[in-house]
Amino acid sequence: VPGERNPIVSETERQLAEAGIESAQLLSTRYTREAFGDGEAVFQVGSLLLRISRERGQYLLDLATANAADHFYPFEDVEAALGWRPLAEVVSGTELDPVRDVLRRFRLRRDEIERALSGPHEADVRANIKDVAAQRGLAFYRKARGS
Amino acid sequence: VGVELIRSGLTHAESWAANQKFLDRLIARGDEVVLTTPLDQERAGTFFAREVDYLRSKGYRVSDDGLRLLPSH
Repeated sequence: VPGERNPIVSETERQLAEAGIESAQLLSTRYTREAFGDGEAVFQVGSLLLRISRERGQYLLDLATANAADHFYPFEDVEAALGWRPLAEVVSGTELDPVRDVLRRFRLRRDEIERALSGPHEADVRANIKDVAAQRGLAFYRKARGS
Repeated sequence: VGVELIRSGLTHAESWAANQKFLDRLIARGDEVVLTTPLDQERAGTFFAREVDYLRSKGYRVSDDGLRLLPSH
């Protein structure tokens, strides 16, 4: 709807503030009132991009770097790839963590994530994240097929 | 359905309960379900993941091409 403010922006700005993430710069937004009110807001925090998506009222966090802005990773994949969370937990969860809690975890790990995605180990880290995504995908596929 | 649920301020549990009724009607009709998200892009805890689990618990199975959920009969 032309001129309509994306309600996800105000909501995510509040969530970022509650998580203690300061100086997040809004880069883009998307909102479709007709499609379940789904949408997203992308913020830049330092060298990282945070894409907060709302899907049927649930919020998801994906990360990218400003110099590779078209490669977003699910935050839980980043956590697993960097060894902060077991893959089994990422695959088996039955409830999404509140986005406020996810953003707090991001804030606590932000410096490490920035280093991991920009330093000498960047290529290895990105490969690990893709590997986690592949394993997660395979696990879900097998589960759905009952194999 | 979802738009009205979200606008009405229902909790996730209430939204899921309403969504489950929608799925139950779909199951009763024996409808096929076309997946809008590939199974290998599923994320734990989402409504989509719960829907797939629920339909499987009701006898649905994944089509050979992985793009649909098919009823048992």
